[in-house]
Amino acid sequence: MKIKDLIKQNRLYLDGGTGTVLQAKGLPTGTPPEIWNIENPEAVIELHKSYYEAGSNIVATNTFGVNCKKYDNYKELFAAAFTCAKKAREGMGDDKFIALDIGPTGRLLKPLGDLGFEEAVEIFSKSVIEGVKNGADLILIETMNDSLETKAAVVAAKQNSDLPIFVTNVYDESKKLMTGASPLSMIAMLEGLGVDAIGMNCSLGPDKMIPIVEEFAKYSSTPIIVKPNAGLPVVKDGKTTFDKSAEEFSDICALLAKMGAGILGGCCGTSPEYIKKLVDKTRDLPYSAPTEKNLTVVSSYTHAVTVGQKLALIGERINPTGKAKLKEALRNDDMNYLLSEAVKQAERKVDILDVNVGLPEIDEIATMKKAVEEIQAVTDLPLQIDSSNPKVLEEAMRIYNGKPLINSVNGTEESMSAVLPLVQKYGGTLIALTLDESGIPKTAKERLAVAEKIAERAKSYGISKKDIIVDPLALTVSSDKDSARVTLESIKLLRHSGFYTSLGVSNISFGLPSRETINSAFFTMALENGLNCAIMNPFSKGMMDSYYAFCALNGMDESFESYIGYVQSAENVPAQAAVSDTKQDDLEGAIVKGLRENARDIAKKLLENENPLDIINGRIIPALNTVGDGFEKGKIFLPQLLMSAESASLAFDQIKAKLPKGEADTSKGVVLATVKGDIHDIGKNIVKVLLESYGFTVYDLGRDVAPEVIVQEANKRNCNLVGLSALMTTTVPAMEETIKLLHQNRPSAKVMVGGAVLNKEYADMIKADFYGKDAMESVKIAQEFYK
Amino acid sequence: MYTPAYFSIDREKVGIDEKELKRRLSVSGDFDVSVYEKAIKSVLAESTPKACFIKVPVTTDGDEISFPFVSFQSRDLSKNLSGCKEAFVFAVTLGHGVERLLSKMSRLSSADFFIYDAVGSALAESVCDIAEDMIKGDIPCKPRFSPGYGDVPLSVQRDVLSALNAEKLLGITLTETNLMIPQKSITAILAVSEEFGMRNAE
Repeated sequence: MKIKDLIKQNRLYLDGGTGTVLQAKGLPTGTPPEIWNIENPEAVIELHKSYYEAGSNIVATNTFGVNCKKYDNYKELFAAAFTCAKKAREGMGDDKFIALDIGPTGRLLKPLGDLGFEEAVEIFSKSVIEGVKNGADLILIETMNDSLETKAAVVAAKQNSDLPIFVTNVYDESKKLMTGASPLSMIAMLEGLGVDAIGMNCSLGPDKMIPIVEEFAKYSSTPIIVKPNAGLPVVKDGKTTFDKSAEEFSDICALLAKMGAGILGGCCGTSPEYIKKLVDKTRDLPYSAPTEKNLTVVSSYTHAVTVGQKLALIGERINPTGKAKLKEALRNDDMNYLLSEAVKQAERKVDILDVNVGLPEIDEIATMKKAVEEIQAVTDLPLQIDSSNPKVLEEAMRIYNGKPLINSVNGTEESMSAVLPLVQKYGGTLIALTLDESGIPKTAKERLAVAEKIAERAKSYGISKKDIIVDPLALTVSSDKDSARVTLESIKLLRHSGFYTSLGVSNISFGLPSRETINSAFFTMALENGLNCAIMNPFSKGMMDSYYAFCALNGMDESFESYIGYVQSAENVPAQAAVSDTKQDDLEGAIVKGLRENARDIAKKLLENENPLDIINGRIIPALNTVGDGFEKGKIFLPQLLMSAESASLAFDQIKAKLPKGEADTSKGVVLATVKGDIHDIGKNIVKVLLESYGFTVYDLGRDVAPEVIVQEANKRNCNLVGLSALMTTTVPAMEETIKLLHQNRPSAKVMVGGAVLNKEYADMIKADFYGKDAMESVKIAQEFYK
Repeated sequence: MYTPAYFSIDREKVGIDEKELKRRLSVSGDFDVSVYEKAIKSVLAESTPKACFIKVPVTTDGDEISFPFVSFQSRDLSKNLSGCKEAFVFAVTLGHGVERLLSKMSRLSSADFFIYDAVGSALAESVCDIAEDMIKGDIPCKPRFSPGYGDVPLSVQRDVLSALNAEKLLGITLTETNLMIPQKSITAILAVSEEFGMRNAE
């Protein structure tokens, strides 16, 4: 029987620990176990065989630490590992399988680490290809600490094989991965990707896994894998052992089996004895595969949002339609504005953020990928990836860390055949618009029919109805007086037919005065009819009032906690309270004291009566000079200098918008980057904020930036001043290479360098044009350069 | 066999070392720590301090230092190790939550990032002090020494973390250039100075 069928009918057993058993056979400390595939295959064969004999159905190859980055001879190591496993299996029954064992790469993915998603997929792909070549029966991706790396491994497995995929992650006692994901968020992502079994291994003993197995039993529709350690490590007489005996281990595992764990094995500290006892105690327990939980879930790298359990607010602010500032930011490839919108919406307690970066004149694919990666670096809210271009959806879904909401598919053949395969491949919950080739139906019944058509078609791709949320479309009521009524009716009808619904609520009021009045009323009506998700503006007081009031009135807000919290936070508008710290017009004071919000608000106020350039030259620059002098004399220190600089920048932003065209001097640009291999961006960021405070336009390329990218950006921005930072002696060569490449390819460009390990001599040696001993110095260099 | 042991540290017990914070912020003269209270609270709230360690034999031959898992040259460390036959090797981390927070701050505000980063560094040192005390107990030890410090090559980091199984136990990974992530992590060698008599031999 095939594994995919077996796991639905029977309890299956994996093997136990490898390292500890091989060490007992003489593997020296510090020697990776995989080396023995070649150097001592007999021991590895014996190990596998002893697990098969103990009752394991599946033995994992001794390849946990093997990948193409760690070993040049990885192909040979994989081949040898499979030879060992196959030899061990000889003469066993036909219920014995070999799993290609894949462990983590040992590097963390971007944005926290330095490994790119595609690079990770490539590393895993090479391993998968070897597994397929050598006759693996399934792929076991195990001991994964990070959700995005897990996704990269699964994507690689799906791209390069049709083998069953088992995935286990490492949870700690807080019931989360070390990088933050909850069981439900992992289940959502992995079920979306269509893996065959999911679960947990390592880190904890079986007793500590009970609460995690409980969560899996509650949420997982997929067979559950549990591979605990032999308890916790304890040091006894200078030696480390694990605190659970085979007897205790297997007793608790029997309990886990009763809770729903269908695929059992052991991890660190377990041996064939543990597995044998485990098999003996669980073999005769009745087994049934997990039932379909029918949860509609979207997730991020930390948590999940279950649609239907709570009204989901989807923040709509990251969408350039009608937003000049965002458009400009997108055109300039400037993520800062977008990130602050993300954070502000998150503070308004929305559940999901919509991300749409569609502008005709930009590269939407590249921008969407960057936006998704960057937004996920500042907020852990799940995202709704929003584009009319399926290629954009695909690239973003691929790198998204979690299970996204996808906006959208509709009932046209073109849309369904383009979008549905993406969800099959990468997972996601779909927003389905009720329109098709013949347009938007006039009646609720017809809209339901479109929804049903989409759901039917999705089924043929293995996408279940639970992963479809229907948007019955809110159309402008001013052009059709019945439109609101039809939409509301559709919501109700869809709900009775088992669909969850979502709406872009504010479309309804287009063309009418006081739109918020109409929007808020319509929102309440839609909620009353059973709306589950609303794409809306969380800064609209009317809409937020409606939402909190509805939840309170509808018994959805136990003891009115949310409502009261909302009202209190709405009353405490911070801007007004803060200004009292300084005089209403004392911009200099606000900058010197580093009161950022005050500086912004005062600048805004001053602009009503004062000339923008006067504010800059008469107030901002003198204030900055005061602070700069104090810093150089050792009276003011770095934290305050930075606060002041940021205050000045915020004031500057207000003023820039009011400067007559032509006077906003964008020619004074500086490209900044921390060089390849270096992940410290402190120094670079300090320089950035100071330069910005003096009105320079900074193009911040981030950290760990390749020389080619820096040259490319300097050319793209037509920018002749480049600042490079390096904090490690080991990364100075990368700085030297960057300078060389810049001088070769952009002779007009000058390079200033700085960083803890540099001095003037060193800077000269690597042919830098300027050396900035500290951040203030970089301002002087830039001022001199643009004189 | 040197299987690493590991433990969590209650973040409630982690206090800020004002002197260290002051140094990290490049502030001299009067220092009012209360200004940084919000940053300290935020970083602590995101931290999940953990440590892991092994106790291993160590030998020195001139500047050549040999642990069971790595050998390398270092004059500074060999001085520190003189007369010692054993050492604890350990790692601590504030965890990925702090890394996420810092990554977020770096994108939102340079000023806050600078402060939060300094707070993170100072807290990591405090965690390291706590872990050191828990690991050595009553055993007299030399001052701890970290890879990358003095002339101890940073490349040793990879072998140290691997011997400590730190990726699995603490979630510490290395970049291609041997930098630890989470960045607020510390590895250290703590020489056991039991053999006082051996000192004279050097």
